[in-house]
Amino acid sequence: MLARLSDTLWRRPGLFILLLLTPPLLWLGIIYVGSLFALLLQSFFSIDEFSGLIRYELTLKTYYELLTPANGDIILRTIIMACAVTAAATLIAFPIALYAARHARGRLKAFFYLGAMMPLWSSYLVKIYAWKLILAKEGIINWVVEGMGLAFVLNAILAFPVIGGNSLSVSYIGTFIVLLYVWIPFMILPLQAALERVPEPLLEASDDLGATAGQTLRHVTIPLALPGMIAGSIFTFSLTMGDYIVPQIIGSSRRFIGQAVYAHQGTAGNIPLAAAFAVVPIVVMAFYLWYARRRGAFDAL
Amino acid sequence: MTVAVAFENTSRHFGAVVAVDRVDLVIEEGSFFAMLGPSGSGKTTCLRLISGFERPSEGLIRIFGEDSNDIPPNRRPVNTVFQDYALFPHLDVDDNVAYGLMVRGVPRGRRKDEAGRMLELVKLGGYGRRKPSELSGGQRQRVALARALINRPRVLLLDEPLGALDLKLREQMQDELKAIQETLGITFIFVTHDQGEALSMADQIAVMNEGRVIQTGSPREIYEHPRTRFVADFVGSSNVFPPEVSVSFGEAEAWSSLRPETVSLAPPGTGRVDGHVVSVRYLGASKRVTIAVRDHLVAAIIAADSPVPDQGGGVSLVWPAGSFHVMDDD
Amino acid sequence: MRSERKASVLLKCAAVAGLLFLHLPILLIFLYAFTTEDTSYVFPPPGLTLDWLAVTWNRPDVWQALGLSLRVASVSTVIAIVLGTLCAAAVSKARFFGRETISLLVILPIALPGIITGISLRSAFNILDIPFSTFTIILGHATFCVVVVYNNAIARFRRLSGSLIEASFDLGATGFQTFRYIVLPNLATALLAGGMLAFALSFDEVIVTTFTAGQQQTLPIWMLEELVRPRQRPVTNVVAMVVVVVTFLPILAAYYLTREASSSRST
Repeated sequence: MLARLSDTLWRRPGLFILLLLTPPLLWLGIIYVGSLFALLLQSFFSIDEFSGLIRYELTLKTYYELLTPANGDIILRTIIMACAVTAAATLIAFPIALYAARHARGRLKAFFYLGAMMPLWSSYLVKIYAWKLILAKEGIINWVVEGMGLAFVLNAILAFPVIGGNSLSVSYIGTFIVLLYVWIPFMILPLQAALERVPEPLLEASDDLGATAGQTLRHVTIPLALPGMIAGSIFTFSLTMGDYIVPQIIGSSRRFIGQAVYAHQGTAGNIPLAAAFAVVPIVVMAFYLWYARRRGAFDAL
Repeated sequence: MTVAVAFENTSRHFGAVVAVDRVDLVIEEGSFFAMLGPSGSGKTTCLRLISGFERPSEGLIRIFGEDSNDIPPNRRPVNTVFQDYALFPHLDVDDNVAYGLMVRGVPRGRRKDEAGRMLELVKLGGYGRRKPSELSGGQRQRVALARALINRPRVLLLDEPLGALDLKLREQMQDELKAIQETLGITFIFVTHDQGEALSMADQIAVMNEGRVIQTGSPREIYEHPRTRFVADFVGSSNVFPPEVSVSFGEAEAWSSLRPETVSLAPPGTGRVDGHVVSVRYLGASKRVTIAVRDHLVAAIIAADSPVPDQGGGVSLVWPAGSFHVMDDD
Repeated sequence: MRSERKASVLLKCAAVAGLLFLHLPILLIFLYAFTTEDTSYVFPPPGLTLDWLAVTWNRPDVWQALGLSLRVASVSTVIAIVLGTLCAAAVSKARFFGRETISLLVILPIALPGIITGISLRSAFNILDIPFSTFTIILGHATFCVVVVYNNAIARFRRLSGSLIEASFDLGATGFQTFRYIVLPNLATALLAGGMLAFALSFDEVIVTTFTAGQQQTLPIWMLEELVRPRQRPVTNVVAMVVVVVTFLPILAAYYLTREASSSRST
C-alpha cells in the first residue's frame, strides 16, 4: 500500500508538492489571510451612533473618520516615530553588525552573535519592564544624573515642548528609547547576515585600489549590505508602527495607531474604526515591502 | 550479447528546454560506456533517465529489455555514484555502505560482513567507523563506490566520477575503476566532459551535443574518424578545414579534419604546403607548433626535442596520405 | 593601514557600547528581584532579600497563568513544526510557480505588526461568533510560529543536497524509509532549534494574545496587567526574572544545536 503510494508520488512529483503544501496553505490561507479579509471587511462597516451597534453595510464612513484632525495626528505621529526608531536602530546596529561580521573571530564572534541574538528572543514585556525601572523618577538614570550633578541638563531636555514631559517615563523621549531598545535586535541580525556575505576579496580590492577605510565602507560595504539594511528596517518600522504596549506603559497621553486600535476594539467596542486604523500600517507596509522586494531585500531575511 | 540499457527515441523536455532530444542508444552488458559531451549537452540527464530520477517526455528506456518508464528508481537494477558522492553525513562509513542492504531488511550481522567486503574491494578496509566528514575526497569517492556496489547492481552509473579529484588521484582512480569493472563484469556507464578520461577508460563512447547523440563507437573510431566537426573539435583538438581550404591543401573538397600529431615539419619547399611559424608552446614530452598557411592556422604536435624555426621562420608541412578525414557538414 | 587601525578601534568601541545598551537593562531585572523596597522602583535598592521568591511561589494566579502559557506554547509549537516543515519541504523541493508568494505568506504574520494579526483574528472571531478559549489563543500563536520553524527547516533542506535523497532512493529505499533514515535525522536539530524558538516566541507573546484571549490570562498578560496597574511590584520583579531565565535556556540550546550542525557540515 505504502509502496504503491510512494510510486504514485514518484510518477507525479507535482502531486507530492501539492500534498506537502496543502496543510500549511490551508492554515495560513484560511486562518491568517481569511482573518485579514475579515479585518478589511470590518473596516467597511460602521457604528450606529445611537445604538452603538455595528451596522453590517458596506460604507466608507469609517475611513472618513480617520481623516479627522485628532485621528490624522495619531497616524502622523506613529509614522514619524517609526521613521525615527528605524533610523536610530540602523545607526546603532551598524557598528555592532559590522564588528561582529568582519572583525570578530572565533570565540569573540560567537559571543557577538549570541549578544545580538539573545535580546531578539528575550521577553518583550521584561524589556519594557526593565526600562520602566530605569526611567522611573526614583530610578537609576535620575540617580546617575543627580550623582554627577547634571540634573539641570536632564531638566532642560525634558523642558522641550512636545518631546519632553514631567519625567522620562512619561515623555516621547522615553517612548522612543524603549521602542528603539525593543526592536533594534531585528535590525542587527539581518544587517549582520548581509555584511557576512560581502566577499572579503572585494574589500581587499578596494583597499588595493587605494581607497581609505572610510571610502571602502561608503562605496563598497554599505551598498552591498543595503538589502540587509532594508530587511531590518522592514521589521523595525513595521513593529514600531504596530506597537501599542510600549507607548501605553512609557509615554505621554497622546496616542499611537496601536493604542487607537486597541482602545476602539476594546472598551469602545468600535471594531470598524479599529479595523480601519489597522489598515493604515498594512497599506504603509505594502508599499514598503513592494519597494524592498524590488531592491532584492527578501533574500536577506 | 545482451543489451543492458537501450534508449528508444527518448526525449526529455524541461518546459521549453529540450535536454535530451530523440536519442537512440544501445549499451551492451559488460561494457565500460562513456557519455562524453560539454556541459549542457544532456549527458547527465541521460544518466538520470537510466537511474529513474527523470522520466522520458517521449520514447522509452529499456533496462535489460524491460520497459522501465514506470519503474521508480528504488526498484531498478541500477545504482549510482553521485558527482558530489552524496554520502549520508549522519551515518558512519559502514552504515553508508550497508544502507542499501538495510532498507531491504538484511539482518545487521550480514550487513556488516558485506559492507566490510565492499570496503576491502575499494581498498578502504578498517575505515568503517569513520564519518564521511573525516575522509579525504578520494576516500569519499571510494565509499560512494562501495555503497553503490553493495546491492550488486547489473548497471553502475557514475556521474563525473573523477571530476572533483586532483590529477594524480584521477589517474590512479581510472586504473582502479577499470580493474573493479573487470573483476565484477557488470556494465559501467559514466558521464564526463573530459575527452581524455573517456578515451582512456571506456570501451564505447557516445559523444553528445545539444541533447543529441552525435556519434557512438570505440575510442579509436571516435578519435580517428570523427563523424562531424563538433566531434573532431571536442575529442582531441583537431585541425578542422572548410572545403575550400582542404582543396588548396591537395585533398578532397569537403569539411575535413587533421590530427595535429600526424603533422610533421620539414624545411621550406620540401613538404605538401609551406607556411610560417606563429607560436610554439612547450607541453612537456611534446610541443605544439602553430603554423600559418596562407590565411589558415594549422596546429602540429611534435616531439619536444625536434628542431623548430624561430617565430616567423618558414617551414613546410608533411602528413601521411589518408590523414585527412572527411566529415559531415554540421 | 593607520587609518584602518584607528577606524577599527572606534568601531570596536561603538560595537561594545551597543552591546552594553542591549544587555545592561536586562541585568537590572536580576537586581530588582531581590530588593526590599516594595512600593517604588528606587535605585539603588535599600536592601536585598529572598523573601519575594517565596511569596511569588505561593501565588496561585501566577501558577495558573504559567500553566496556560505552557499549554499554549506546547501545542502551538507542535502545530508550527508540522506546518513549517511541510512548507519548507515543498518550497525547497522544486522551483514552482508562486514559490515567492508562499515565502511571503509565511513571513507576513511576523513582518506585519502583531496588532494586525491580533485585530484580524479578533474580527474573524467576531464575524463568525467564535467564543474565546485556549483554542483561539493557539490559533494565533501557531500562525506566527510557523515562520521560525520554516526558516530553520528551509536552511537545512537547502544544505541537505537533493542528491542525498536521490542516493537513498537509488539504493532501494522507499519514500518512507528515505524520510525516516535520511531526511529526519538530518533535519532533527534544525526542527528542535526551530521548535525551541517557536516555544520561546509563543511563551512570550502578548500583543496578539490580548486580542484572542478574552478573560484568560497567560503569563505575559498577567505581567501586562501588573505593568499597567501594579498591585505587588516585587512579585512582578520575580516573575520577570523567571521569564528571562526560562526563555534564555531554550534560545541558547537552539543556538548551539544549529551551530554544531552547520560547523560539522562545512568541513
